[in-house]
Amino acid sequence: MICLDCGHDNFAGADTCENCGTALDASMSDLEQSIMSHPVSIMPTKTPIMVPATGSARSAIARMNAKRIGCVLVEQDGNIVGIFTERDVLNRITGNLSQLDGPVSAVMTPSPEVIHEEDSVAYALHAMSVSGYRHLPVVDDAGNAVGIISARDILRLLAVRFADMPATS
Amino acid sequence: MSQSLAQIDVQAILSGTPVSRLDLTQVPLLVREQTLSDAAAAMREVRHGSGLVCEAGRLVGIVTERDVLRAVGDGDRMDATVGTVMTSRPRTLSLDDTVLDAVQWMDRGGYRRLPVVDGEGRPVGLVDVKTVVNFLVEQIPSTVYNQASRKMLTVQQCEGA
Repeated sequence: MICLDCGHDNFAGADTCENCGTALDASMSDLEQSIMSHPVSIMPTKTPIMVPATGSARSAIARMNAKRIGCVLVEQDGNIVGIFTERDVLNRITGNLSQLDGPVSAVMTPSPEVIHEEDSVAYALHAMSVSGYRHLPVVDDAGNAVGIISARDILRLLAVRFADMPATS
Repeated sequence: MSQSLAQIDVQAILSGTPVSRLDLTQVPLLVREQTLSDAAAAMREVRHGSGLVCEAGRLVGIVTERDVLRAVGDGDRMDATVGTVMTSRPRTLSLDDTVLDAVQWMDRGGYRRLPVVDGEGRPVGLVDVKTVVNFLVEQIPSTVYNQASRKMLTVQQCEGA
């Protein structure tokens, strides 16, 4: 954790800056402390739906519609090899409907950025902001997908924090 | 860094910033009579997943990539008209609603995007959930940008040991 006063890079969880002695936790707002100390596993996420890489885009889309979700994970030999979202459908299929009967692996986004279930909410925000993606698969130690978090899940977490503040409209 | 960013109260910023100060997303403006295929092409062009449907300049509906997904899955119904698949009279924000209002409406209604309209109901842009997330990250950049994955730290520590 970087000290806000002197910029020293401290070990995660340090109470005071090793370099200048500034109290690290006290220098952060409640929100910042909260997103740094909580792992993404505190967010309720839906169980990810997996589809085989060799299956057709059409069958993946049928699964998405049946489950009313906008995103599935693509697996091959037990590994996550891609993510297939409604944005991929818009960008890669609507202009060329013949792709529907091709393999989903041809229209998915390959090698998505994943986060570990013990990573902090702040790290998820970071990963989402840097990658520009709206969905992040969450994996356990074995690399198995245990969830998918979206930008909206993070906003929902914030809204709960601010729930006692009425909207002005 | 002389002034600690940490002193800034994020909550006060969210409730004190009107959505008009956000970088509103400009999305395609559509009419009911267009085909979904046309609408999808317009969305692809701006690399965004929705379009606002207008009548006489006023917002009457929104079409999103979810509507496109449903139509594609439903027997390639890309020739359906925008008017038949759009969500009519979507929840909107006005220019003086705050970022906190946007956060709360997105939470309550499950909306991923909220069109912003002026006093006459004319669309001026859209607040996307990613815009709000990015706005938040900008308020607390050192907390967010200095994050490393715990997983990665573990690996590095093992290698150093």
